[in-house]
Amino acid sequence: MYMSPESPSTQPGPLASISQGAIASLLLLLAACGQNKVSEYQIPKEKAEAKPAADPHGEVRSPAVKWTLPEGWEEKPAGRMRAASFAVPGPDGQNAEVAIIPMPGLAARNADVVNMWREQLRLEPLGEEAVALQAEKVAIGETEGRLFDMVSKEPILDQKHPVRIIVARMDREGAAWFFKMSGRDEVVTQGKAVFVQFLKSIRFEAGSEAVHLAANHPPVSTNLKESPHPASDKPAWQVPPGWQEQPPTQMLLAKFLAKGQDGTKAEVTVSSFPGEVGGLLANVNRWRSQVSLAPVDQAELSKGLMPLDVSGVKAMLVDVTGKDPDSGQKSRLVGAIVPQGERTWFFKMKGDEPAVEQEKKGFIEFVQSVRFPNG
Amino acid sequence: MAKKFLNILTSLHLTVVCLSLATLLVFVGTLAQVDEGLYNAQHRYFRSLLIWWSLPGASWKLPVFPGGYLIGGVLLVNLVAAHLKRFSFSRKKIGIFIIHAGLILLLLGQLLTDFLSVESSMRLTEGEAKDYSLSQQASELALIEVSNPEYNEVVAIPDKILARQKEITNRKLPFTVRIKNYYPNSALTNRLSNAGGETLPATRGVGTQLKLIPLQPTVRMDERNLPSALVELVTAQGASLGTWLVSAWLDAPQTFTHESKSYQMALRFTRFYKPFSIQLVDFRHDKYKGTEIPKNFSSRIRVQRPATGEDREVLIYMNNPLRYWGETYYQASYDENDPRVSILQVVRNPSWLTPYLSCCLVGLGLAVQFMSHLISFAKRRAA
Repeated sequence: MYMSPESPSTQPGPLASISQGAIASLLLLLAACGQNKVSEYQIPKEKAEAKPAADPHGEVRSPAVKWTLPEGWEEKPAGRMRAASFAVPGPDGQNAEVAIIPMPGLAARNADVVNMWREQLRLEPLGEEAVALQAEKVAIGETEGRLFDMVSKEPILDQKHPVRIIVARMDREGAAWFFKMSGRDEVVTQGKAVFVQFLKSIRFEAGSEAVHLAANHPPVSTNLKESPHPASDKPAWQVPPGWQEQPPTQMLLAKFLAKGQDGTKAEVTVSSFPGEVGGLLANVNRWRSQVSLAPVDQAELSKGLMPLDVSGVKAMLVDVTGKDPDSGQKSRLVGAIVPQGERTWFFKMKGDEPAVEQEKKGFIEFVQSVRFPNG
Repeated sequence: MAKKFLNILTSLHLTVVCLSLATLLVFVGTLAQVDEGLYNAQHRYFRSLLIWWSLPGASWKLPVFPGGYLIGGVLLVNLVAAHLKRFSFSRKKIGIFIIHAGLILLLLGQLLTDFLSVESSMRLTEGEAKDYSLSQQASELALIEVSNPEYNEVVAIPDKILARQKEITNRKLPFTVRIKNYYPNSALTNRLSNAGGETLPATRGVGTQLKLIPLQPTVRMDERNLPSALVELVTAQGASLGTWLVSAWLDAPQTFTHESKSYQMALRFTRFYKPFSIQLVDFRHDKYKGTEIPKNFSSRIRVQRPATGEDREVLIYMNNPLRYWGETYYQASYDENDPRVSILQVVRNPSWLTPYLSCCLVGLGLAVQFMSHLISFAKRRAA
């Protein structure tokens, strides 16, 4: 590269100053480009132009719960696990508290939930029938819910006053919603009528608070010779004949409908999450709750599990039969939990028992046909 | 001492060492792109003074190899210094002089390109017009005051500042922005879904309905990081206005009012605004019949610049970009799920002409040098 012949003459004067100058300007450039400043600017108002239709894949619809706030109630920050919180004024600053608590995927029996709060009030647990007898019908918005009213026998609050909990339950779109009022017995008893009115004012607005999520799929380079396959992180698999592919929802990679005889049907879903997602036991119990079965402990866990080889990975097959929490019909769930690399894959078939029985072989073959993108 | 240093700086040995190191660096840096991805590998190996190495999980790191800037910088200084040291103008050497000038220009031009060029992209659906392009990597937390009927006042905090998770004040903001958590890559899910994720203590905005799944930052070329942050706004008196979950996942900004002024807040990919708008009139995506092999991509766009009254249509297609306002608009990508979407790559590179100029200079220098040799040779033979 270097072509000039070596020559003995040296002229350090201009050279030194020029190289110094070069280094100085280099440093200046480096300094200028390392800046990461907060920027301020003005932009003209965006015109209210008709925006092209939003990408249907990038949207989560989240039901927003709305209410009419009773007089005197004060809205509080919702906090964890809660959709809303309120303070109901009482004497001596002993406010009662009202909370709206959605429990996704909860299919627990009323008795389990009621006994959880009875335990807080140091009351003995009740059986399902006794709880059913105590339940009052109550209107929660336009839905009929169940109201449970319980009061402690001991003075729990400051060791002076008994505590009362009124809780109303309704089930909606796979989630149990609890509306709970708790506090000093007198305050809650006095406020009960207002609380029931508040329950009537509850509305769910599915569309109004839709959360628009950005389209996640990356742009595709036009430099590629061939159009790439869609969704690069989706594994390759063979779908059994007769399964109908359904549009996947957010967090579901794929969804299929399998039809059995006599109009019975089962739904197959595929999802994947980073990490262990709570581990095997938690996920088996999550699936058990979806067919109204009680959770099992670590010792019982292995009984219902069958190992399954998926692309050289040891997966676990779960097969549980119970009742659908919504319809009360017999329901069966066959699922595979596949740890693959740093992710865990969930393949689930749930539906009417005859359809699941008929499609189980095909489901296992489907899971075993999966080839992971990085596998 | 200074003389010894100068001798090293101007020596041919240094040139050879630098070129060997550069060859090795290009080899290693290219291989590293497999694991680290193009963007990260470029930064680690080529856009750095030193390449650092550490054991996984260790807090220390060691420089193990000179980076691209150091090698290029030393090579540049070496070339300039050696040339000045041996500079003695003669007609015989004019070709060599031009060749070296071309090489110096090439090195300087690349350095300037690296520092000054900005790449972004513009995603347009047919009919849509935009007056900004988006960064493909960097994001910003934008706080926009929208009370003025004429314009919006934007304060944009870059992600590098967000990642420090500190409190940020700005003279245009009547509150302090407290970054409680920052997630360089994340997924969001509905709180009612069975999917995993953390329920963050957001008290206002859509974050109260969402759960967040923190993800490892991706380095793959076909994926991008979607950051999220938990942001609390605090007044000068120390009162909290609330805590919001902001995320690049969320299309719509979240709104709030403070001291009877309306604000919008969004974590979004960094925007580069322009004094003109580009509207996608028509996007064509032809394939060879019966195959998935693309034949042609083209975007017919309309450029409108209110300040100058300019309004014209331009066709952008492969190898025929639009050069406008110091920027180059290339036909870069499409959306496989939506045939109406075209994605233009926007490159601002003030030194884009330097490689062309330096190639011409080197070519000219070579021609001059060989011709002068040829002529003197021919003259000697004739004599």
